[in-house]
Amino acid sequence: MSEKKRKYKEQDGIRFAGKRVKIGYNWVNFEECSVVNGDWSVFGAITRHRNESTSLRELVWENISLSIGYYRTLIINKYLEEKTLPFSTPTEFEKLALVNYSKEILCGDNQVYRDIDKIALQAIAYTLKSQIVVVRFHPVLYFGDQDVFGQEFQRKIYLLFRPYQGFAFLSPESIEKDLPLLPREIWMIILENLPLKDLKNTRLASKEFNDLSHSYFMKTAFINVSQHSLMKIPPTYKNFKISNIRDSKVTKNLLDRKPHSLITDVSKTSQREDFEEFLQKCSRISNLNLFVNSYKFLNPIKMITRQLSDSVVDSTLIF
Amino acid sequence: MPNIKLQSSDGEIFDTSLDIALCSLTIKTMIDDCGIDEGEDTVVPLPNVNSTILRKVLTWAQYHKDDPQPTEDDDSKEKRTDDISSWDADFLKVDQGTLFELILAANYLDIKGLLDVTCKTVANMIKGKTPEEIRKTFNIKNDFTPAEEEQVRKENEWCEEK
Repeated sequence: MSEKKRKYKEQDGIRFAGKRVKIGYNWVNFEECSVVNGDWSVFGAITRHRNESTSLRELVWENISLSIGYYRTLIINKYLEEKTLPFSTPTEFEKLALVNYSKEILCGDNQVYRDIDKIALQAIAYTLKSQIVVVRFHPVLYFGDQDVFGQEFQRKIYLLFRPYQGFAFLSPESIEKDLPLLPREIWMIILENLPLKDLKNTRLASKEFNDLSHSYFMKTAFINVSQHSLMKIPPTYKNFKISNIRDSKVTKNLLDRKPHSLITDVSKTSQREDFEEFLQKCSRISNLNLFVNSYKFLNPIKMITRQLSDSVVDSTLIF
Repeated sequence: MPNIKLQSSDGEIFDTSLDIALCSLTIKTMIDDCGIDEGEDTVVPLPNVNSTILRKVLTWAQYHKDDPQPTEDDDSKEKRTDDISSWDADFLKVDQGTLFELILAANYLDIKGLLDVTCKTVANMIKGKTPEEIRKTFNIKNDFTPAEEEQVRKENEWCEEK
């Protein structure tokens, strides 16, 4: 890399600390940016400008994205050359790099760097916990405004980031300060060990626990199903997700209900036809998890799914 | 097997056998990636684990160093919490704060066996408890409104034992 280019790269990460920065064809005033003072770096700037045009925010966001390759290189080089994780006492620049790095992890294709990503994410979760807590309470910073990034983008970011925002899982008010907070991902492991009757009670402990227990509430139902060898569901499909079904009475009814209420009594002929239609529609979408929560439905569903094409079965997960 | 030095967050150095340290996949990855050779006087920093917890983690790892490595099949097995060995049960008779710190350390260090057993211990603390008892155990504030709580109870109805 040429000296000139290297210098440019070095400046890249702290350019936002300046009072006036050219982003694309626009000059942006960053005199309120708190990189130097050790606050929220670029995001501080974004927040302060959020009442201005969305195009400005978009420009800032895009510019951050452009620098991600450099941040990743920085982190990996530091990790490899100094034989240490660079996160124990991150400088403001490193915080900035890490925050952007985490976004890249969430948004990009991580196949090549998967292993380092894993370590980095753990380190990010621990060393930048105060910032990660902020994610919880200021979602706009990470998830973006709907008008800029769109609901789908938000949903993706939220779902992907969720396991790593563990420090925000239990709000500070809900737990004594001297009790170490466990990340959400840890609580998920703990709850995974509980039988249904205990999950019922954890749901009732608090809203956060209800939110956490809920997915395993479903999973437990699924385990019961799997014991009957209905089908083996990949562990990645633990969470409820349903989308893009609009034009059927039965699917509308299903969508209007809570996940674990998605019951169609397929043992009755009339409803079975609706259910079959529903499953046919499922073949045209992906990522549909269908929750069925009673043993009496298992055999009829098993028959239906066998009758239908493989593609239907592939896109239909029965819990 | 050579030794390796691990440095806790509060600066204490633990000179431990490499085979014990390698129970931690995080340490293993760091060693592999950094190419640490045998006999090299390298200190592996563990900035997220203090000396008290690291000592306990190493004690656990020492006892379990000959255990078979967990396999992917283990994940698909039905979860049980009554299979904690008596040694582990005694080892984990600690206050809740220490237990949580051990969980965090096991997670950071990527020691599956320790993470499993500590999480099971917390799960056992939940088992058989009423919602109110769970709140009391973990200092959780009930933030449901009566209507919201009733809604969850209704949602729970489908799996109530008849």
